[in-house]
Amino acid sequence: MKISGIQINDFQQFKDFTLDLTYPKGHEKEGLPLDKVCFIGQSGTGKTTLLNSIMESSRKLKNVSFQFLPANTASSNQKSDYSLHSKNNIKSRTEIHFSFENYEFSLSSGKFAENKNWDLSIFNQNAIENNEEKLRTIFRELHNSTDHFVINYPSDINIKHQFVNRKTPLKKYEDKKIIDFNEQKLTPIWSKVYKEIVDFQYEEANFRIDLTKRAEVENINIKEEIEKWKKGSKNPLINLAGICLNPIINKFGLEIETDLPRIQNIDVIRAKSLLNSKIVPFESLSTGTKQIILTALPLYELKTENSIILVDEPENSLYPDIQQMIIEYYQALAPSAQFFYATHSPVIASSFEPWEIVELKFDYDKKQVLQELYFKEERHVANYFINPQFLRWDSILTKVFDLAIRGNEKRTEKLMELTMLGKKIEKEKDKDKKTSFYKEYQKLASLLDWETK
Amino acid sequence: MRKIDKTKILSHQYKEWEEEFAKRQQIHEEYNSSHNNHYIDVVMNLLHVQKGLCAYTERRLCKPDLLDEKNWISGKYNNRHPEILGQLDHFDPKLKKESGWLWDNFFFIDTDINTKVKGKKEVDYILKPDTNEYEVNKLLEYDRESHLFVPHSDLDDKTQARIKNMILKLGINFDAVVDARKEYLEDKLAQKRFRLDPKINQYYSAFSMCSKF
Repeated sequence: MKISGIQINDFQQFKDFTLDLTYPKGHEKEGLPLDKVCFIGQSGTGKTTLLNSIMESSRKLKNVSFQFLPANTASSNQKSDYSLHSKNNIKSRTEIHFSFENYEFSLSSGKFAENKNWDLSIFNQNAIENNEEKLRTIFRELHNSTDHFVINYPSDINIKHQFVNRKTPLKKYEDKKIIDFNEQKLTPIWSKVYKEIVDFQYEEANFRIDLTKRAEVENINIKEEIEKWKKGSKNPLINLAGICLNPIINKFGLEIETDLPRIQNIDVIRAKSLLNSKIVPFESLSTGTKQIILTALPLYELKTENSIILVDEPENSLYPDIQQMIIEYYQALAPSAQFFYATHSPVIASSFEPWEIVELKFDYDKKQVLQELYFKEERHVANYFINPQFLRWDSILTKVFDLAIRGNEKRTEKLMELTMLGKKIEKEKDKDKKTSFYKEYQKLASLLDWETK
Repeated sequence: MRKIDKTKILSHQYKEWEEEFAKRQQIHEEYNSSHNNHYIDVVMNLLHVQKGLCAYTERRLCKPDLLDEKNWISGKYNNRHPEILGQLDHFDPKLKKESGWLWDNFFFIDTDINTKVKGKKEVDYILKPDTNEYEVNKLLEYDRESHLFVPHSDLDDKTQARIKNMILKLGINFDAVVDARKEYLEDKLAQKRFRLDPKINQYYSAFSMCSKF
């Protein structure tokens, strides 16, 4: 399941607001929902509102019933004769278009379509029974194939107390369809890893006991036997470390400790310093490290096929080099999911194709928020005139984030001084003076990083 | 930035009203921006004498047809909501309190310059573009590489320092202006290089200075 569009008629700062979240014409995935979307815009333009709307609409997927009511008794603005309905109040202020296989549906309006054709509803009075069965099948498949409709990482996620309490290690999510870290903790996911580790450690302990007993009666090389066992066994932490966490936390000078001699020491994930191999207590890890562990672990451990993943401000607490790789990293952990990000970071924005970026802007004349379009005329890949992937960071700031200046205004003043100095050198006839002026020029140009244009 | 001749008055009703204050030796009515009946007349007359360009950066702020004299009827501009960019600037902010409607102190300029750069900074009249002494080619040079205006290198160091300060205060080298100027001029200069006869409708001074080489 993915989202292919959003329509908001009148809600908060949005009026007659439509987002097409499919690949544009000329793209190899033309017409399909985008794999990832990045909302950018000044604070207050509604980035988080859009993420929340997706969340709200996804929650309602759980409560879809398979009743079909005549259009006039369901909800307004629908084009079909008959409409999808819900046990709960399904009306919403925003209309999210979900896409699943060849079908599209919007729970808030009750609209349903096959092959994106909203006008040719599959419903009509004569064929209602057949269609009802068809729709039941589609929703059953959707539920069966999707463990988690949505995984939500808010910007103010509480990193403290996210791990397992040793006394209640096997807690599970009550509602696994919606994993919202606004309300839920990492505990059940860590519990799963914890159980695998404990099982592995018991297996190892049993092997060692058996080995000791064998050594009493046989002439065996204990070291060799243990090495052989280790090669054939699966320490769950080795993959978790190698695939999921180490690629990023190595950059923080850390790696995950995979050798755990005592069961009682695994109530949190353990990282050790690459400098001295000493364990760094979890509470002493940087906020950025904890954030990576907290966000990556669910993507690695949960089944994310058909999931929608919302990440508000993925740049929080991360240095630019990590920001540069974080989007690709998350996508590698959950390749079949659809991601929605909201960001203020030009480095994060540079990970997206232009059609994946939704820039929100205040329109003070119309007193509403609009999407700034990056294409002219038809929405075709050839008509896009901004591509953040082709721009330098400073150009992203000026062209995409609309920053009016490229640096501190002192820089402009120094650039002018450099130009003035250059003209002075050109005009100077005395060679000694020329050389002396050039030394000044060199020094100033170096301070300007020789970016003199 | 080009020399501006402000003697051509089309908004006569405003100008007569403004001159009355001087005749009566009165301070001006409080400047209240667009709420004043004469606001759009001032703006359009300024744009007319500025040839539709920002007085400091030469960025184009409106289409030329809006500046045709036939748009003025009985000394007033006939459209209260013309499609224009920019804002009214009081060149010398010290005059705003008592002479807030003084024609001589007005220029129409790029919004970014007014809101983000100029503000209420003290000014030096050396770069006031409507004075008798003002001659852009003797005061400024354009650096083709960096697309920055700099004080003319023939001037003494003290004068260069005064001009440098005013270039900064008037936003002539404001990053967003430099970027727009560079994008526009590089295209036109490339056309010129290929003898394609480029048509220029803004940044005349910069283009002319680049074309010297």
